[in-house]
Amino acid sequence: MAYTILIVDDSNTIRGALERTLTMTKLPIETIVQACDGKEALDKLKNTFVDIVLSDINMPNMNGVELVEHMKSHAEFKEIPVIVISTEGSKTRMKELKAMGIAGYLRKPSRPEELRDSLLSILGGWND
Amino acid sequence: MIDIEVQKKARRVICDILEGATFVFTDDLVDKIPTPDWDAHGVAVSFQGLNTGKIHMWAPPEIMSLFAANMLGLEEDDEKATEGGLDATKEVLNMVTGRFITEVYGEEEVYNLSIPEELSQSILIQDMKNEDALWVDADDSAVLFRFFLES
Repeated sequence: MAYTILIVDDSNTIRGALERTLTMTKLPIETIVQACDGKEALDKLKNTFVDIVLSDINMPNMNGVELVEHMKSHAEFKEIPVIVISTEGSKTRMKELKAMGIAGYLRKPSRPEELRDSLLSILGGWND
Repeated sequence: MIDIEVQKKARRVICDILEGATFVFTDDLVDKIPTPDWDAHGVAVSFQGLNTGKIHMWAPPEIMSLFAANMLGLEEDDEKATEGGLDATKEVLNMVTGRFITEVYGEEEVYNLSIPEELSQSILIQDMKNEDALWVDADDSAVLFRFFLES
């Protein structure tokens, strides 16, 4: 099975770097979709089947916390796992997000193996 | 003037982030502080929580392009690296700020960071001359940080 991943970050560089990191993990990823904020992410989710969302927190228009709130309150999106990838390191913030139902939390900059391990733990193992 | 221990932590965070995120190795800037006509672009991130503050970062175009190139796996002279230099530098400062906050203020409190913004060239000189200016040698290029911290 090959996966579709949605990357949500307002930085072109971070989206490009994450896409590159995902490629380096050698996981079976078929499609990578990008969005520059939570609002665009929701538009993409309405039109594209996505297996997992990687989202920043601090974005204009709709931030990552608002995106997670929206996804978890709508039946069509609530089961899609979200990994937050952020510069923030507050344990209080992490607890809040985990209580909202996110699947994982990584701090930027994250290494390929950290991202790989996080994705594997959520999507399950597969044959390499 | 910023506390010496905070300065040390700031320097350590800067070096860790530059090396970890952009693969640019750093050193102390010795005898290479730029002259007032330094061609550098600046970005800023502010933060609010139990403590508030702001960090300025200034870097020349060639090192900004290098940040982008290394983060994206491109050649230094790739057009996408040149065009992406400012965005890459904003993200470097974003990461420096996030890490600085946890190193200096701890991991418990929530801090809100601003979206990184570009600085006006008109304030470069005052940042360069400030006693809290923190200079780093990044791949033989000078990079400047200035921290504004309030309790």
